[in-house]
Amino acid sequence: MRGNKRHILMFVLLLSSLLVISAARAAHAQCSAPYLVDQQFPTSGPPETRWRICFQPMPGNGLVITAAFFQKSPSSPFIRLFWDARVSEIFVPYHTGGPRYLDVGFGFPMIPLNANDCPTAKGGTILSPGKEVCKEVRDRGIVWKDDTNVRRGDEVVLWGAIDAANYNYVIEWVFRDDGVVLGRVGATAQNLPGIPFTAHMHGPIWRLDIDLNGFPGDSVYVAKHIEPVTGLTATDTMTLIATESGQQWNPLEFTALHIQDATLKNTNGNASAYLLMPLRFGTPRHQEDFTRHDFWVTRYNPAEMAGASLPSYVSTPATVANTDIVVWYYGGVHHLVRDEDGQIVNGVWKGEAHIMWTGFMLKPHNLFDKTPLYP
Amino acid sequence: MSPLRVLSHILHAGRVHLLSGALSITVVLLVPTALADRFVPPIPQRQVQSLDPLTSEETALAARIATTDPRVKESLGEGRSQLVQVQFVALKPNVYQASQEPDQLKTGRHATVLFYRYDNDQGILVIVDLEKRSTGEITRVEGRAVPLAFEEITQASNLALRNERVRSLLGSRANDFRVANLSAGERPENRIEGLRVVATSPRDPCYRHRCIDLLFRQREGYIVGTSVTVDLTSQVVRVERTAR
Repeated sequence: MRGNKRHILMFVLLLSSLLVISAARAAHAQCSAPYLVDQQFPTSGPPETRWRICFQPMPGNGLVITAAFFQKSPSSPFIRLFWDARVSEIFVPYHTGGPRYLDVGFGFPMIPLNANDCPTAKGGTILSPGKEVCKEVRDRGIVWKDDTNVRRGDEVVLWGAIDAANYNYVIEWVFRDDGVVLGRVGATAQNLPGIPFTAHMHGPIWRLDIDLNGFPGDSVYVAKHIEPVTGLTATDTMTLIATESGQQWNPLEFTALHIQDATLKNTNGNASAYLLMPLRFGTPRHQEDFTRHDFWVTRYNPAEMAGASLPSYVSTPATVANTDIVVWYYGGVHHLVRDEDGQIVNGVWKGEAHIMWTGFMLKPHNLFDKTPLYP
Repeated sequence: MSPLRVLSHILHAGRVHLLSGALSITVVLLVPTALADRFVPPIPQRQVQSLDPLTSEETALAARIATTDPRVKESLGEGRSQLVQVQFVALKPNVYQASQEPDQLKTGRHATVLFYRYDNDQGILVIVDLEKRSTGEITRVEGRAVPLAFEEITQASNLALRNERVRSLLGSRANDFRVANLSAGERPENRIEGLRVVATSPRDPCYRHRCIDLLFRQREGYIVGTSVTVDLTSQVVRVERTAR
């Protein structure tokens, strides 16, 4: 009997070990700590949803997401959202006509962070060997409220800053418990020393290699809301983008891109998609041809990474329906210089421009079968 | 006695400590010894996953493969060129695998190596397969999409620091100013930083040239009121007073 017990104990131990190893392997997601973020929501108690993210700090682009998967319930498979997501360029033209900078095009390094940037008390953890990335897990406020019933939500935020000489750009990626992703760029630090009182723009161009449910079979539609003020009715339209091109955002039409996979459906049989919606205060336009559109859609090409080259990428338009697509989004911060930015003291600039943000939201559409984060 | 009854007996006999301790020991000792010979190749101290950043060895290897490749040499021509950047890239496999489990996609290890040609304001982007130690696609890139290399800002600052108007601007501390290698964590008190200039008009002397605006930062802040632009293509330094 004693021998039997020992054998059974060994069997149990071996099985447990294999399970541990298997679980660890599944969590790797092709990257290893500290470049892996595996975040379940809610942060305590029974899990409901989960993100699995790989990232890399890269000179120039800053914080780059190299993979992102979302699990809409503990029993659901992980669904890939990003193959790669990055700030591809930040264009900075001054109102006087010059200078005109391509800030990512310098290859600026990321700035090492410290406890003031990423306090543990605020849910922060500094990641990566160079300490360039902060992970914050935080309350995101009300998800829904219905009389006395309410649900608050959580999000995991990854951010890092690039040191663009006098300016700093904070590159932020937010992954929420309901599958929403926010991409934002914040511009801060000191005004340009040569012309510190000249207004200017900061125009980030994001390159979003979205591979819903794997990389083939994706299509992009322009979604518009149309409501003539001469009538009472409104319509919402979706137009397939058939070939590589740039698209305009129209605030009167709530223009958004609708990115959909050919096979991914929820259990209701509805096609699952993500909506790309701008979060912006205005629309930057300049002489440069790459600033003439707010959205671009191209076919995946690993050699096409530069936002400033978008017009050349679409000059011979390839088909982008039901294929492997890349979506680009161009936003803008309009920096009207103000006394609060700083002043010259003895020939030296004193002061800091407080951070200004621009970005976008990626929102699931028919990804869940019913209201998420709901009893 | 059935296995379940034995397990129950072990647990109820207050042997949880034994079980958990043995579990830990097993994870550390038993599994590698039991399985290594049959399933697992020798594991290096830190196994690089396919989406981990390039190691310094991989970065050096990618640069070496690209710079010695005859096709790359031909693309760079005989004129002046600069190795600008080695970056990680995750290439998608040619064959799509239906499973969505992320660790089932084998992407290998690749890098892009980017060069700049001064003679025609063009970039040469080379994809390097680090596992096969070979070059793949070579693509021409617009000059404006090619970042500046650290070496280029050093060249620009050397040119600027030889300019009398720049030395006058910096005064007695001119010799103290130097370019900081920010990637290496350097933050000297008197440092030179650079911003990439993009000219869109053919009338601009920087049009299709490699130009950098230099900024001079002291401990107290940036020196204001003057712009210093270095044209690396023509090796010219332009200094202009700007309105305060």
